[in-house]
Parts: sequence; C-alpha cells; structure tokens
Amino acid sequence: MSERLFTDVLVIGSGPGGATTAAMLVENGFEVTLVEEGKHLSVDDTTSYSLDEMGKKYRSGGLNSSFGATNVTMIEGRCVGGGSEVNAALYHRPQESLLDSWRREFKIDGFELSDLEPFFERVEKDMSVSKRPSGVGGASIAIREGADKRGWSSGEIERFWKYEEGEDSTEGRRQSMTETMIPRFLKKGGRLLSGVRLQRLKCRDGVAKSAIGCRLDSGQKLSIDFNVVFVCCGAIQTPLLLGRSGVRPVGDTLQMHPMIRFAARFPTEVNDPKYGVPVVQIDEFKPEMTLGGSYSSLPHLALWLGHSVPDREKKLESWRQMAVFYVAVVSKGHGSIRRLPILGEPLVRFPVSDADMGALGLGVKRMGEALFEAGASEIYHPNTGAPIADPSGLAELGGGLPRSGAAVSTIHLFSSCQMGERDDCPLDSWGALKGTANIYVNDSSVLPTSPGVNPQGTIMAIVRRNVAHFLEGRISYKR
Amino acid sequence: MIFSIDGLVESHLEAIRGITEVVISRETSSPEDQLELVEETTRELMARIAAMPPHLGFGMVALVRIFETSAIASGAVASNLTLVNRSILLARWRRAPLGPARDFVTFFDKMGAFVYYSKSEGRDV
Repeated sequence: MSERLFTDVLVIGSGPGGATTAAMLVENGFEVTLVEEGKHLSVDDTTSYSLDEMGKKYRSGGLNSSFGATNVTMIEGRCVGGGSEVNAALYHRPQESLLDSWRREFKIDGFELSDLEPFFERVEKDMSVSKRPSGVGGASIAIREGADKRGWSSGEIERFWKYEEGEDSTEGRRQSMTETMIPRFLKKGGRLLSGVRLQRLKCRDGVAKSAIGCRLDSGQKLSIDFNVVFVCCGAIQTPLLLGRSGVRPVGDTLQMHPMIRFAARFPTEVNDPKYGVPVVQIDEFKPEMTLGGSYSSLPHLALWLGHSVPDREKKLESWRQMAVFYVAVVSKGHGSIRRLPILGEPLVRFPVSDADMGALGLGVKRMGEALFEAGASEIYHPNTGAPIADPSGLAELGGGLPRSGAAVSTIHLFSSCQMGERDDCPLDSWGALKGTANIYVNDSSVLPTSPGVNPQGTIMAIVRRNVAHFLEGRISYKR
Repeated sequence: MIFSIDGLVESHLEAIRGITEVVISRETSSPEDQLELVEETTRELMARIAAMPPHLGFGMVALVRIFETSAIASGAVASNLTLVNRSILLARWRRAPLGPARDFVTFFDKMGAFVYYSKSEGRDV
C-alpha cells in the first residue's frame, strides 16, 4: 500500500537552494513539505572532512565520477543541508561584471546589480558571513607570504561562520543549512521528510500534480500531491528528476570548476588542523583561476601526497610540516547528464579540455612558486608525488598538467538548467520551467555560467530573489 | 528501482584484502603488526565500493576480478601471491596503457591510504 501525502508546496532537496526556498515560503504562510534523500544529521554528528562524514553526508561516499578524456571525481552532499554541511563554508560575492554579463547574455529580467544587492546583503546577515576574529593558520600565512613576495594580490575569504563573544579563530560554528534555514523552516511548522527519494513528477499538459518515490529505510512507496513544486536537488539530480518525469530534456549545459590538489613541505610546522580549511586565497588570477589551501589532516595528506614519494612513511611522521593546496579553474566545457537505462542513475560526461589541463598545470606552477617564496622545501607533483625541490622544477607544469595520473575533482557543479529569457534556457528569468505551470527550479542548476568562485553565496542570493518574485505574484510580500 | 551491489562486493573480500595489504605495506615498515587495521581498511574500502553508483561499482568489482585473475599464468590468483609479487603486479597496473586499470590502482592508492590513516589516528601505530 502506497503512502499518500498532500502539501501546498513541495520542495525537493534541502541544500542551500531548497532549504532557503522552503524557509522563505513557510515564513510567508505557505504549507510546505521539504523532502531530502539523505539523513537529517547535525553539524556535530560527524567530524568535518572525516571518513565518517564522507560515508554519512556525501553522495556515493564522495566517490562519484564524471567520464571523459579525464574523469572528474564529483563531490556532492547528500544529507539535510546538502553541500552546505560538507563544504568549506567560504563566501564570495561574484564579480559585478559577471552578473552584468549574465543579465545581458542570457536576457535575465530584473537582474540589475541594484536588484540583486538586497539579496546578497540578506544572505550575509542570515548566514553570519564573517572573517576570523583572530589570526589565521600557518598554511594561510604561507599563501599570503608567497603571494606578497610574488607581487600578487591575496586576501582572507569570509565564511558562513558564527563566533560568540570572546571566541578565537579556531572556534565558532559553521553556519550550514541545519544551523540556519532548516531550524527556521521547522520552527514555522514546515514538514521535513528525510530519507525519502522522489523518483519523478507526474505531469499532464504542463501541470505537475504529484511526486512519486519511496522511503529509503523501509522501501515504503510514497506519493505526494501538491499545487506547486520547487526542484532543488543540485546540478546533477535536478536535470535527472526532470528527465525521469518526461517534462523537458535538460542537463546538456553542466559546468564545473575542475580542481587539482597537491602537497607541499616546509622546514617548520605550518599545519594545525584546528584552523580547518585555510581561508587565504591568491586573488591575482580570479575568477579564471583560484589558488588556495585544503584541509590537511594526516589522512588527507596521505591521500594527496602521492604514492611514490620517497620516504613516504617518514615524511608523514612529520605531517605538521606539510599541507595540501589546490588549484581550481573555470572550464569552458559543457557536460551532459543522462539517465542510465534500468539503473536510473545519472551518467555524467564532462570534457576536461587541453586548455583546462593547461590551466591546472599553470596553476600548480604559480602556487608552487608562491609556496617556495614562502619557504617551502618541497612541492610534490600532483600526479606522481615526485618531489620538486626548487622553482625551476615547476617549469614543465607551466605547459600543462599531464592527464595520466591526474586526480581531478570538483566540489562546484552548476548551470545544468540555466535561467533567462534566451530561447535555449529551460527556465525563465525567475526559475520557472518554461512550458509548465507549476514547476520551478531553484538551486545551483540555474546559474547561467560558472561564477569562478565558491558558488553557495551566489546561489542563495539568486534563490532568495526567485522566491521573492514567486511570493510577489501570490501575496503582498515585503523584502 | 534502487540497486545494491553489497553481496557482489562481499564475494571479492579476499581479492580486496590482498590489494589493501599492498597499500598498507607502503605506509608502514611493520605491516605484519597491522592485521586488525588491514581488516578494518579492507572492510571500509569494500563499503566505499558498494556505495558507489552502480555503474561505477560494477566496473570496480570487474576490475578487482580481472586483477585477481591476471596472475593466473604464474599459477596463483593475485591474493595468493607473495606481498612482493603482488606489489609488482599492482605497480604494473599503475603504468598500464588502459585508463580504467590506472584509475583502479589510483582508487586503492589514495582511498587505501586515507582509510588506513583515518582508522589508525589515535592508535599507536
């Protein structure tokens, strides 16, 4: 016997897009059901960036991959709060010129900078966007020092992080969705269903009536009838759900920030994991290229150091003298998302181009140069782990990163269901799926192109804007 | 429909343990003292393979099976080779011309090390 529920508004997916959408709607008097495939866990239920967290909060344990000439490991959250629970919580506003180009090229109505400003401000306030109150860790200091010596601009990145009076930089609390929007949603009487996978929408003549799925723990089939649905499942799952629903083929415009990580060694200790992810980045080459630091506990160093490093065991004994760094680039490629027959899972293809590999190699060279300036004694080749003892050894990387052995990954996926009035955009300027009456998309999928920086702040601001527009059409709504 | 490949992965326990032993032997000079950690790491890697999307998980299990039988000409499956010979076999796969073979080794190299150090943190290893 199938379980049957009714709700006025159904929101599918509880990441930054879905949780924000659900909280805004319920706070404006709508009856809302928020459905999440993953579990409802708090920030404290797992240690950040740990093996345990990968198992409990990441989709496929963090081991999903796109296919292409170079495969890309795709890291996505799969828990209440989605990516906000597992990312570095870094906040960026996108460059104004980028927002303006989105408005012009994709013909997005109501997308002037002055239109967007209040929504960014609201995100910054709601999410306690802030810098660390007292100092940064050793890896951040090395990045800043190296950039200064190279004459490159760098800066401390703000985070979604809340500090109580008197707390120092190693304390405070991540402001993920389970700390912010989800409690607000629940407090106003929203209904949250976790561990529920909705497979498809039942639609007729452009009107969606219900969502069909099951409870993952019991296998109990579930049907939810609704008046309006917001699909907020992320850049991979949103097109997949719409495809399974037979509404409209989408998903051929997937974009991502390919990233490569590598380790560096210093003569003194630079690594104190209690500082978390280094917050200083080299700004000089943004938005096309971001150079920064990664979380660098002993297991992470073992992961990224490379198998062929001489005296690997000995080097890992002094792991506090090492840290992991990364290069993320804007790719011009467009990936596709297809549903595999029978399995129903997404097959993601993404063309990491020679230009992308070139940019990644150049990024490693640049970051390596900065780290040597900051006193690094060895950089480890990202593909092989071979030690590089001086800047001259980086020259070859400037010509590009070899594909063989390159462990390319991404934590930023977007643009698989773009918004705009342009004919090729499946969504209108406000996230409504064209040709349908009551289906909206409101997550990273809607971004027209790569923002070049951590996209969560941009997604949340645009999501707020789209919901505000939805509300204006239905009730008297004050920003 | 939701697929599970837990049973399929479980049936390759010996082969995966054999690869895990090679990975851990690189991380410590006394792998013979690490039997418990080898077992825990093996089980965790199996869980990770089972959690992969089915099309990737099936592929990984297929590669485990191919790796296991690739030494058959020498009279034994890979997991029955000596640790040294298994290491040589894995190194050969690491340099293989076929991308999936290299990706297979990269998975064990990287995830094996990550899991091993995650499990051994806080212990006297």
